[in-house]
Amino acid sequence: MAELAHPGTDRYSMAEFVAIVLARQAGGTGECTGGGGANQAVALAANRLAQITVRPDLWLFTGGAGVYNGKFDTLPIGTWDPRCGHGAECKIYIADVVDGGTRGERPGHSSGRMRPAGSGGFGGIQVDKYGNINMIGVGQYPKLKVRGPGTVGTIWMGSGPSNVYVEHHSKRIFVEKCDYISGPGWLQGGDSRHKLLNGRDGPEYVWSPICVLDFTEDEHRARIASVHPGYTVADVVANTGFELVVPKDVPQTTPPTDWELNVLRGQVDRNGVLRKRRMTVGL
Amino acid sequence: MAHQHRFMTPLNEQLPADRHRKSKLIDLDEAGRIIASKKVFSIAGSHSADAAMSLIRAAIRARATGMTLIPPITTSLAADLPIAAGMLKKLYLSYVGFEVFGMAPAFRKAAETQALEIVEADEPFILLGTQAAAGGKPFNTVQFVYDGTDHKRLNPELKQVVDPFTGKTVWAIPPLRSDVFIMHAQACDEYGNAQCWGGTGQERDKAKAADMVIVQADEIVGSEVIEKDPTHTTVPGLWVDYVVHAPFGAHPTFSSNNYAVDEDHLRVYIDLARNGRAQEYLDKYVLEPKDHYEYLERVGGMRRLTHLRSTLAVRS
Repeated sequence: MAELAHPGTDRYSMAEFVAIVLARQAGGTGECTGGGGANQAVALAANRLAQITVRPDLWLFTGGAGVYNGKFDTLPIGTWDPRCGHGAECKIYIADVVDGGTRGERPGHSSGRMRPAGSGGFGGIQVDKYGNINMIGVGQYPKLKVRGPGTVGTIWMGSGPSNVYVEHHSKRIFVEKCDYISGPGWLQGGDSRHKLLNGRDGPEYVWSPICVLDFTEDEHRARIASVHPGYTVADVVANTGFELVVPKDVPQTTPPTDWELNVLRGQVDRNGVLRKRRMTVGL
Repeated sequence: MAHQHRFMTPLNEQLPADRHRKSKLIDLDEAGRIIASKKVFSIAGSHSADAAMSLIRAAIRARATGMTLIPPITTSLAADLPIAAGMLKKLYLSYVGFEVFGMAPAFRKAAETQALEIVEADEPFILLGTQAAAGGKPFNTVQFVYDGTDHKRLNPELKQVVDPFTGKTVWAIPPLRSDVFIMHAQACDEYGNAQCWGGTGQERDKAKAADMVIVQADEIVGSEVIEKDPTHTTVPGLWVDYVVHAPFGAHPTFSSNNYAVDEDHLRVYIDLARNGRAQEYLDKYVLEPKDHYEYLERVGGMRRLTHLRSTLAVRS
């Protein structure tokens, strides 16, 4: 039975913490897009938090609702919630998003101008050690044991750099090899992705409720970058179904400050959606 | 004998008996029967927002069966309810799920028991395929998108062609036309000028890719409302065949700027369907109500619907 992911202290929920970690990493310099796809209340909060604090030039894109720069201070249910459109600056035609994806980032030019996923990332019912993800299903196609909800926009992982995002850290999700790839990560590792996809970079981070993973420089294998307060390297290893690269010194993820929690709760998530959101660890 | 040109007949001799512009309003039951007489239908909206739910319920009541659905890029109840009712034979899949509320129970069950033919599609496949059909193009093409994924072996409708300009092999997506496109609008006049107040989704492409378009609208408005703000007209009446007045017709999904999603009602559906009791839901909310207004009574009537309306306006 999976247990609820507990925060390092009782000051905050794990979803609030993950939102703050994502906000710190959101965007780059200059104009960029941040947003989120299906089931990404946390990424939505993270990008809004980043926008009103450290990334004023971030364009907050909410795909399902189809708008830029909604000015909500209570958190909508998802990026498709029409309340994302309160105070928005532009309605976007969904084909504009598809155009950005099919055109793709030019290798070496990461303007992010048309890229729908800033901070946040693509989720799956399986994620493997090279950051490939699976939204299709588990089992022998078409007789699947578990039918996933479908590929949707995870296909855009092939278009340029991205992140992977999961709210449940377990061996069922983190598997040695995905049964099917709906979103391409570093494929078979090494230079396999760069060869097949014309130099386009793969995922940078995997955001989990108990840790952050990144990828090794040559093999592009998942590596523990930091472990969240309240958890240990052993917890991460024990709940991951593939062999992780474990550096000698793994830092603890910087805990949230009171200032960060106050801004998040007072200006982004006034209705406390993230305080109630359920994240789990273990099968 | 010389050909009789119409321009030779003065206008005053051509005056029709009824000089009114034709109204496209029909009732919901008739719309349901029309949809049920077709093979392929498409819908728009996004996740649990702006779904043409009252038309879908009407089609189920009209015993629609063996149909193919071309969904929007993401959808929930608008696909799961037809599946629960046995209305679908084939689904072009991009995303069917209730997102924060969980997986789509009828879809999962039908897929895992192979009771439903599934085309393993995705966001660009649905959108670009619809655009190909909208423009009467033989297919649409993309580069690289499917290179690293398994769609090439799972989706038999995805093909490869040689780009005549570069000689490179590229991916071809077939045109996704439909017999009928059913859509939800916040406001529509009786001539079919439909205004959607949400994000700019796929309504225009889907309307052009369909042989017939049926609009359900929360409100039927006079021409003066449309004329005040023509930039808000999402689909021109010229493309629309029929209009149905269905107040709160997107319930239990959102209607952009009009009323909020009914989370409690969605949970009622999900719980019943997950426990193999979808038929109870269908009986109570789809088959037994004698009309749309009885459905609205059964889901909580004015008290509930007014609450959903104010939920969008009032800060929690």
